Amino acid sequence: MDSDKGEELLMVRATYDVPYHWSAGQYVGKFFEELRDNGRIYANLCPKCGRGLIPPRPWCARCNVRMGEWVELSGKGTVLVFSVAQQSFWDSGRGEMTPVPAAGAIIQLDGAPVLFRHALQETDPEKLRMGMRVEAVLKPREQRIGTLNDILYFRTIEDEGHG
Amino acid sequence: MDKIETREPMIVHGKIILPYTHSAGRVGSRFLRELRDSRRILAIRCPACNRVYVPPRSTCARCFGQLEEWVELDGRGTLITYTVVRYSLPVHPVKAPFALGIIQLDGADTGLIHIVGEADLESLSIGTRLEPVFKEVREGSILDIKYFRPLSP
Repeated sequence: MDSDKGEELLMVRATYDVPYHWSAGQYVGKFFEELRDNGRIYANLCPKCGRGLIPPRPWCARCNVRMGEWVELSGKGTVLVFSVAQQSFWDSGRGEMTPVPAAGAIIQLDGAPVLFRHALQETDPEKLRMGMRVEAVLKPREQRIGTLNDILYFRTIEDEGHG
Repeated sequence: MDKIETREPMIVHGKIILPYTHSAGRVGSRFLRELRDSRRILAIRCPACNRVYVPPRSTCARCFGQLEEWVELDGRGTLITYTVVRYSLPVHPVKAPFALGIIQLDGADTGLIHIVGEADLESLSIGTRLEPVFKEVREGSILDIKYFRPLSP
């Protein structure tokens, strides 16, 4: 329609805002509660293949057996691989853009054969390397709500005092 | 640590917040401009099958023909069906409880989804005659119509 040329085109703006609840169950629930209330990080171990799971779960999906012993971890570990994000994106859980730069890593935690993915405090790629030692930094007790984000990030261990 | 089998499962509270923007397009923009500027509800007619669409659209869903014949409606209509929303969500335009209806406006062949206001939710019934109530401050949105209310007899 020629008569519409040059007429104002409108944008429709809305926010899809949906709260939801889910049951973390007994195992993941206990893991989150120990993290929130006592600042402790636990894994549990498969009695058959020996691997650890974090958060702990009732069954080893590889061996199809009940998981066994719970072990408290020190929160220290070794960076296996890392990546530094320079592009911000929408964080639908927080309702804001993610901060950049942001470093993420897969960390081999001490005390159990288990890999853990989390953020690193250090975001300068020049100061990151595979094999570096890091330790978990928790939020203060009053800010912990029982999620993996109760761990703020892993910071570089400058001097572990070997020997 | 207590025995795990006797623990209450933990409930985690999460949320998903997704802002989005889309273009109303040529036809949708004219519809919204008329709501905003003139409190008029426009529909569009298919020349092939005579079907009248509101909200208007640029192509007929049955004939696939381009639609250009605008029709002004007086805004009154009939409640085709409805539900009473009793659970509040941030995404809702008003707080629960409220009625959400499909309204067939006089002269249109399609249903328009909108809020039914100023109505007794317990005695609302299909076939109720309705009229639109416009907001005082309008911004070019379907919610420039505040709600449809029952016509006083």
